[in-house]
Amino acid sequence: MIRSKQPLVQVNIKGINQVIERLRRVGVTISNSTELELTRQGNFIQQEVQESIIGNRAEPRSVDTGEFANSIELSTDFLTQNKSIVVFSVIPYARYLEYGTSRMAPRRHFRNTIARNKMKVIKALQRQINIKFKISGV
Amino acid sequence: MTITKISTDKFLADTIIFIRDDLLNNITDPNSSARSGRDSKFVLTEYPNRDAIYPLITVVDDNSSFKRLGMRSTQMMGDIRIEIRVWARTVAERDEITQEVINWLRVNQFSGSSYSDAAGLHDFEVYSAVNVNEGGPQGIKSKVITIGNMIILE
Repeated sequence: MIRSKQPLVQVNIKGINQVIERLRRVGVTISNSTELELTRQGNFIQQEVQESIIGNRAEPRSVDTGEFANSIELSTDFLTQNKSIVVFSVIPYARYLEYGTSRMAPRRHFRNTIARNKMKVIKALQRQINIKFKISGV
Repeated sequence: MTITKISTDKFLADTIIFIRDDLLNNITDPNSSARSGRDSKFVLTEYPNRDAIYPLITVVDDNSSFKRLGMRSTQMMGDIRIEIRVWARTVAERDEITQEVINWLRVNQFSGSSYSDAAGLHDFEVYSAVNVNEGGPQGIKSKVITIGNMIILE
């Protein structure tokens, strides 16, 4: 049986308001509803990855100190034509957990999260785009 | 068991075995002399529990999704993603085998003795090739290649 090094581990699941506030602090402004929806969906994926890491999804848990689960961040690129959101971790050992090594099976937190939620995210963004078209009368 | 055509009822297993055999028969094993006489394979369908003699290649299914081809139709079009992982002793060895694998899969689509399009694997794509290098001079250097093919379930 593996025990955590600390009796209680705190993991902060970041909500959309926290994410928007953090983006605002680094100088990112959300200027329209499409960018807001993209940010919302990015935050959803961010939360899902964290839930996967703490063991609330099908994959094995990857929690000891909580460092990895608390390291999942979001970055945006709204300046180019192809707007994008990236969900990432800067922890050096994150890729070993994700892909596995010769001594450890892969945990697939990111890839399984995408596989489970890709269609949900696409449909949510399509709904937002449809709403925009209806409002603009196209 | 040689797979020449991906069957509808065993599409996952057939796809993995087809790609495994394709690579086993056509990719050069740089360490074949160490493997001879021992229970060790160069291309496998999961990470070995027995002797792991490097370099080796693992072929594992990653993810698949399917869409109906029409209303009230049981036929489906699928996107099958396969993870081909090259495990090597050095970075140079890892990259050489990776290039050989991607190049072989690319040129073997439409001609040759057992090309993938004839077997039912269409629209070959390489989605990513990510490095995962274990630390230390003896650490295994690996490349995780994700490829995709379109298949039709009739």
